[in-house]
Amino acid sequence: MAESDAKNLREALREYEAVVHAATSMIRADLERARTMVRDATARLSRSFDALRAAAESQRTALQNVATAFFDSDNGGRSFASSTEALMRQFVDEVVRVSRDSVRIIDQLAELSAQVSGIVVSADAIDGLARETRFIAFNARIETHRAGDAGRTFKVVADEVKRLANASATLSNQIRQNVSECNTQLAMVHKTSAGLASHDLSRAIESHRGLSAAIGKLDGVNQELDTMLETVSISVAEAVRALQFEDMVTQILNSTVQRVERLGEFSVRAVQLLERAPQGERAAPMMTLLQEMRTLGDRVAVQQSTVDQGTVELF
Amino acid sequence: MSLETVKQSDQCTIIKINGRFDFSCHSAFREAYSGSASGTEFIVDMADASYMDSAALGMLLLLREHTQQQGGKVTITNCRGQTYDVLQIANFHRLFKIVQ
Repeated sequence: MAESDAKNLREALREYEAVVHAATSMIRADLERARTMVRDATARLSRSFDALRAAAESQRTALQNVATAFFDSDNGGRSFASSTEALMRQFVDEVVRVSRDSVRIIDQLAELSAQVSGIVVSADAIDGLARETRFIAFNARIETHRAGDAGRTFKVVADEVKRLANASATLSNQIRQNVSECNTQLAMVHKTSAGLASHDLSRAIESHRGLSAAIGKLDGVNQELDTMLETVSISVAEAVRALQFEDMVTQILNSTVQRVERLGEFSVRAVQLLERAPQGERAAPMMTLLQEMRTLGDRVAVQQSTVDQGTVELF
Repeated sequence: MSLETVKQSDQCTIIKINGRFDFSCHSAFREAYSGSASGTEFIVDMADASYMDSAALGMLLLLREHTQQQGGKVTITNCRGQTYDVLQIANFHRLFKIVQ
C-alpha cells in the first residue's frame, strides 16, 4: 500500500516537473515575444517622431522661403512687397498727374474758346463793313447814272467797290465756317481731356488694401508657424525621452525570465529532494529551499523606475 | 453733383461739395477760386461728398497751385469713407492740410 503510494507520488512529481518545465518555457517564449514587440514598436515610434520633426522643419523652411521672397531685399535692394507697393504708388501718382494736366488743358481750352469767339465777333464786324461798302457802291452807281457819260469811269470804280464788298463778305463767311470747325475740334479735345482726367481710384484702393492684408497675414502665419514648430520640437523631444521605457521594459522582462527560470529550478530541486532524501530527513532541506525561494520576491535591479523623474511617469 | 461756394470773408472761402466730386464739378469749382483775392484761404468741405475720382484730385492740385501763387492755403475738411481713402492713396496728406 505504502509502496504503491510512493510510486504514485513519484509519478505525480515527475508529471509536476514536466508541467512546470512546459509552463516556464511557454512563459519565457511569451516574454521574448513581448520584448520583440516592444522593441519593434519603439523603433517604429522613434522613426515616426523623427519624420514628424523633419516634416515640421521642412514646412517651416518652405514658408520661410515664401516670406523671404516676399519681404527680403533682392539685388536691387527692394523686397517684392515694398516694390509692389512703390509701383502702386507710382501708378496712382501718374494717374493723378495726368488728371491734373488734363484739367489744366481743359482750363486752357476755355480761354482758347473765348478767343475764338472773339474771331466770330470780328467776322461779324467785317460783315457790317461789307454791308456798308455795298450800300456806298450802290449809291455811287446811282450817281454815275445821273452824271451820264461823265460818270462812266466812276461806274467802273463803283462796280469794283461792290466786288470788294462781296469778296470781304465771302471771306467773313469763310472765317465763321473755320471758327465753327475749330469749335468742333475744341469740343472733341475737351471731351478727350475730360476722359483722361476722370479715373476711378476704387480699384487701386482695393488692391492696396489687399496687399497690406496679404503682408499682415503672411507675417501672422510666420509667427504662428514659429510657435507651432517650437511646440512640435518640445513634444518630439519629450516623446523620444519617453521611448527610453523600452530599456526599462527589457530589464523588467529579463528579470522576469530569470525569476521564471529560477522558479523552474526550484521546482526541479524540490522534486529531487522529495524523491531522493530519506523519509524523515526531508523537512529541513525543504525549509532551506523555501528560504531560498523567498528571495525570488526581492526587487531585481532595474536601473531606473521612471523614464524621467519629474515629467513622464510610465510605471 | 452740386457745388456751393460760401465766401466767409475777404480772406476765407468755403467750397462745399455735395454728392459726387468729379469732372462734372469742373466749371463751378474753377469759378469758385478764379479771381480770388491774394492770400485767400480755401476750405474744401467734403462733409456731403459721397465719392471722388482722379479728376477731383487734379482740380484740387490746380487750386493748390493757384493759392500758392497768391500766397493763400487750402484745407480739406470732413473727409470720410471713400473720399478719405482716395486722398490717402494719392498721398495728399503731404500736400494739403486734411481734417477728417
